[in-house]
Amino acid sequence: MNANIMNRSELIYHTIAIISLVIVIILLWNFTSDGSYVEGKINSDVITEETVSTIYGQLYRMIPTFCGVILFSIVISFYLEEWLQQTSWQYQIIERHIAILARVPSLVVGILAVYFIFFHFQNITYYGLLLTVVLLVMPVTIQSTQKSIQTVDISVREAAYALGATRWRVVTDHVFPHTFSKILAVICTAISRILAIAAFLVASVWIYGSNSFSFPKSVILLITGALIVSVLSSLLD
Amino acid sequence: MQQPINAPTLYINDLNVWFGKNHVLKDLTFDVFPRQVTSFIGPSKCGKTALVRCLNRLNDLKSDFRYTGNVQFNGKDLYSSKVNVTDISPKIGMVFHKPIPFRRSIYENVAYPARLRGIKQSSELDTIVEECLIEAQLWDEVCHDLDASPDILTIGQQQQLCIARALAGNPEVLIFDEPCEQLDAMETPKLEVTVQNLKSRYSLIFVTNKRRQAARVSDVAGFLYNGELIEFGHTEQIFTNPKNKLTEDYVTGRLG
Repeated sequence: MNANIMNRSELIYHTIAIISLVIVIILLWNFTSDGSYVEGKINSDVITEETVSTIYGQLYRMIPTFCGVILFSIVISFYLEEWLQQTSWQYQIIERHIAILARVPSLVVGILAVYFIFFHFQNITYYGLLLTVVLLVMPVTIQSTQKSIQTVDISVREAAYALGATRWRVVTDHVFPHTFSKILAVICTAISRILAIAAFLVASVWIYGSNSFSFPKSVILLITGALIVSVLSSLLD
Repeated sequence: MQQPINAPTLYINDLNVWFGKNHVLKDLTFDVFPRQVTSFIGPSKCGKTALVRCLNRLNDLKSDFRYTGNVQFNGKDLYSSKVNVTDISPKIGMVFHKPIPFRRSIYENVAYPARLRGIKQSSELDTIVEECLIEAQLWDEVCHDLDASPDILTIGQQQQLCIARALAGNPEVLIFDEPCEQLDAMETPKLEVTVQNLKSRYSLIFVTNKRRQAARVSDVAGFLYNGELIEFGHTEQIFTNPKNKLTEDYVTGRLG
């Protein structure tokens, strides 16, 4: 009986996924076949030195938001692994969506961000950057944190429960200390992704605005920062 | 209401347990009395661990767990909605087949259940840690290394530490789920002596698949086979004069 229900729900899920994919392909086809749409929207006059400094201003403003997104992602990971039943439909749906989003290459997110934030809307909005950060950071952070939580031996949890620990105490006293260094590694990975995409955004706008293939120094700094943080992440993991 | 002196600590009546569609325990009925060692023997996967995990509600962690029947602890329904699991779990302590010391010092491992009970005074914690380590026969070996990590201990000593930690929860029942599984021949007798010493204060449940060990440590024994309690009675009777053919085959080594 349960198996039938699972099969039916999986069938519905896969059908919706295929229909969505077909719609996206049709839209992209229309979008790219009519080249005037893309060309028409791009106006290099709007990209000046000021634009670049505005980007930096917005990026600095994004730092608290970025910290919030990281924290939120870690909380979601703990909620999914420790509180939500892994056989529940809520877990299954969230898990699948995170898996899909985590597999999207960061370059795709970066190109979409450059196009929509700078060329399509011709404005650097807080919500545009927020969406980029969310798409870029949340799925990967949640997935990696979940994996690190799953490495904690079930016997440690059971030993704590057998002594009368509440779920909250099990998480704070045992699961979190076990996964702490791995969570730090996950945070470093997220920072490096953000730095890399920030470098990509600034470089794209700079190249487009100046009509020359040169980078401002800040881009090199961002790329160097991303590399250093990546190395730190691998050391912590 | 105080329990009569000879009342069972645990009363299990017609207990059936399922994990999903798998019917792992079938119509189990028995009592566990204080100051006795009750052992459960049987071949692997016969339901011994599932049974003891029912008694301290660890099976609740599994989403597909389902049960029918009655499990009473000190005359009260263990599975009543009024029972707070975090209050009842330390009362029915558990020592697992593999020693699982926490990633903290020896002292903090033993003090952990006391801290969970809300004890914060260091003098009180010191007393509890010392008493529990003495009861678990580990005090002499670790009294100078209380701040050290449990990693410095042997597997047998780690298991003694886990016993001390379970005792710090102030239990009435102590369950040993194949505690000697990872111990060598030198460490096993020490743990058996500890079990015998604890008998005077607690109701002990001892799960093992070593027949001779069950005969040595227990007063009452139950033979489980395919989730059924085939025979339950005094250990001497089970091992010398079993009433059931399956029990006889198992204790003589022809089965399992």
